Amino acid sequence: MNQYPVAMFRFSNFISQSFKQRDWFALLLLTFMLGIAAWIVAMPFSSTVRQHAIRRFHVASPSFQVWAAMAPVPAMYNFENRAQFSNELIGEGPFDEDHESWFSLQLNHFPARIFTFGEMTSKCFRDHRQGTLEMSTRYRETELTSRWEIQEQPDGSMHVQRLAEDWVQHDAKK
Amino acid sequence: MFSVSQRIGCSTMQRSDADETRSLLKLVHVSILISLLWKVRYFWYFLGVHKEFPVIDPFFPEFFRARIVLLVAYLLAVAASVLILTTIAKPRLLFFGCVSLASLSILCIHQSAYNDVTFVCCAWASLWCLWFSTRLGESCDSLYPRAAWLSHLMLSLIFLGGAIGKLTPGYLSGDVLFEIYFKERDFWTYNLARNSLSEEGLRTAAMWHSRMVLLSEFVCVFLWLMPRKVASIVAIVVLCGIALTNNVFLISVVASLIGLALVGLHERKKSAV
Repeated sequence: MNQYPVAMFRFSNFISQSFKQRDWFALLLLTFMLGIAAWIVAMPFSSTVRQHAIRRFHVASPSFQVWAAMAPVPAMYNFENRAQFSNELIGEGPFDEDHESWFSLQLNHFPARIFTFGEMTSKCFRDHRQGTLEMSTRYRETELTSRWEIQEQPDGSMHVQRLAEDWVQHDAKK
Repeated sequence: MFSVSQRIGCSTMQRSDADETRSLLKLVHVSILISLLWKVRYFWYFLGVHKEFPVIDPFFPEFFRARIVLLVAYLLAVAASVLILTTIAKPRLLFFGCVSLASLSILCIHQSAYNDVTFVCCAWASLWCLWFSTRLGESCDSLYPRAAWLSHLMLSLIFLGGAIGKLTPGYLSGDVLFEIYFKERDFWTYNLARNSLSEEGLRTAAMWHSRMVLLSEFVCVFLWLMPRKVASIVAIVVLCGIALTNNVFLISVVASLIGLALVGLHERKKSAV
């Protein structure tokens, strides 16, 4: 390769050039990216991958380590995400949609963000430092609904407790 | 055996290559800085909210819940990019590159920042920069085609994540974007649409907008197969379009990606020898 403006650089060129230059980091990076691409492409076809991806959105992976391992997977505006919140502690019972603190909204990603990143936190806890959050995330036929309860502690902090999760398999045609 | 003039020529060329490599590295770090600083006001606001309403999710280890960790990681990420702009020596560039990647990675899994795509995009750009720093000294002729292709592959991967995750009924019908943007979002494009369309017209507009987003993301999935300059221009047009038609705060998300795309537009300087 004698000149930089190569019209179309190829996958095989990258590998052969990296070998030639002993650029192991580049090859490692390529392998890492291909692994992530395979994971993403498998999502519409594999229910296991889909469930892991949805669990990641609900911060409900089997462990923090498993959840953190998925952090490099790009997931902008993924899935259909909804959240509803009320300051009432209702356990696994139904939400009172007439309650003054109740609200429901569609979110672009990671529905638990409504009180972890500050955007909606003051709206949620301005009047009462407690509440119930229900999140639902749907991808194709698979939907997960999770319910969290947030209770104020004597030190003023608010602790999250996971109450329930429910998987629903929708009709593929709907 | 090389003659003295050949040795001097070779070393001058290597120095020139290294200077060019450093310039390109700094360009991408400038874009990371723009991304991080674009949301500095919101970041401080969120820190304040976090202090007033300390939510503790036991799923996260204490370290990844701490407010001080969030603050230090953000400041270190900014400082690392600033220091890279003023650094010449390779070992220091590598060190600051590692600091940048480590602090951005912490932000990607911190309870109060994990959902922010800005940090994920910056972490990918920072990873590219770290790799690029390790190649300081390599001839530009062999390095730049690989660097441009790798940056396009990285962008393709990010678009792939966005596109595949939207292959769901709510995006195909436009319902998701209708709820998030068309219904209430205060931005010139949506205000204009609301003022000129009926409810049904808005839903139709949301459906076509949603399908257009999907289509443009799928086109960008194949950046790595496109000619170098075409790939960069397509990526820049799509990324600018995302920010300018949806929400200017998205500049924090797209700036670092635009930095990666600019790598493909770089032209070699004329050789010094």
